[in-house]
Amino acid sequence: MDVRKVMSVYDAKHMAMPFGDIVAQKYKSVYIPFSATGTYAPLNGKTYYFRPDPELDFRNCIIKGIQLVSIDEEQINLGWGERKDNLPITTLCKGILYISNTQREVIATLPFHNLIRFANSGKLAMTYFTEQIWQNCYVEFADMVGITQANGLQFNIFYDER
Amino acid sequence: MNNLIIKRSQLAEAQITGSVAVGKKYNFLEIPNLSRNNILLFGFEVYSATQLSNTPNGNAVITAANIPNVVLSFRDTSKVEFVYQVPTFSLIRANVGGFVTMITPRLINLTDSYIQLTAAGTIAVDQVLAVNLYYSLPTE
Repeated sequence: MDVRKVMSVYDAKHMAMPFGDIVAQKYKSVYIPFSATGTYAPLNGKTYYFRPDPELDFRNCIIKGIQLVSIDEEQINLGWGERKDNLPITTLCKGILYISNTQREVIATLPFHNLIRFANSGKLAMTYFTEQIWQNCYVEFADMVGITQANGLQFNIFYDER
Repeated sequence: MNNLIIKRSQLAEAQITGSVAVGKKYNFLEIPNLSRNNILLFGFEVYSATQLSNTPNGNAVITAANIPNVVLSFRDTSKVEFVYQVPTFSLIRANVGGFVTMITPRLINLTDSYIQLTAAGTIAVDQVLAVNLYYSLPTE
């Protein structure tokens, strides 16, 4: 098949776009802060769900890109009104983000390293998620060594309003 | 320059089973929701332990030092190797300026796809090559 025809299929089906292009209309930061005890206490293999955010549900937006902020880019985040240290890439390489839909079916599995622009020559992980429920999305760490209640995760979500 | 957009993705693992041997084919582990052979693969990327230390199944990922010893092949539903013995080093996004490898969308038979070693290096039994498959459904 002619490469130009392939690229036209990519364009039409939202499979690729120029990386220097405008990604989305809006973006916002969302957080997962860790705590000493309870739901967000560090534990290997535990699932940490995002707080509900209707603005990021499929009814209201299309998620066009996701960035995870490492300590190299911003040392401290202010998620949920608390100061939490972001994590280094050597620790973040143990984590995975799962995007789930209305039926809690996982539609995307994204190792954290994918989402760190600093680690990927500045390239954003571009997405086209149209059926996500934000509170069904979660993260998981194979190994929590080096993560305490002083730490938190900060994601920047790039999205278009519907 | 275009880069891939993730519509759906699934982490797949090809595991070194039995013994470490040059040239032997190590198949991908089955993933039930991809086993219907009806996913259109349009891009993929590989991880070394530097990018992903362990998979969600708890398997250790092949280290960056050993990645130059591994080649990857994908088969479609007609048993055709449409990706054949590609060196995995250049499939790691961080090694190629952040670009994801894109291909013409194609139906993939995951459990018929495999990796091979060109040298044993320090690769150990039970380690896995972790590959993220970027796909869409034929109906999308």
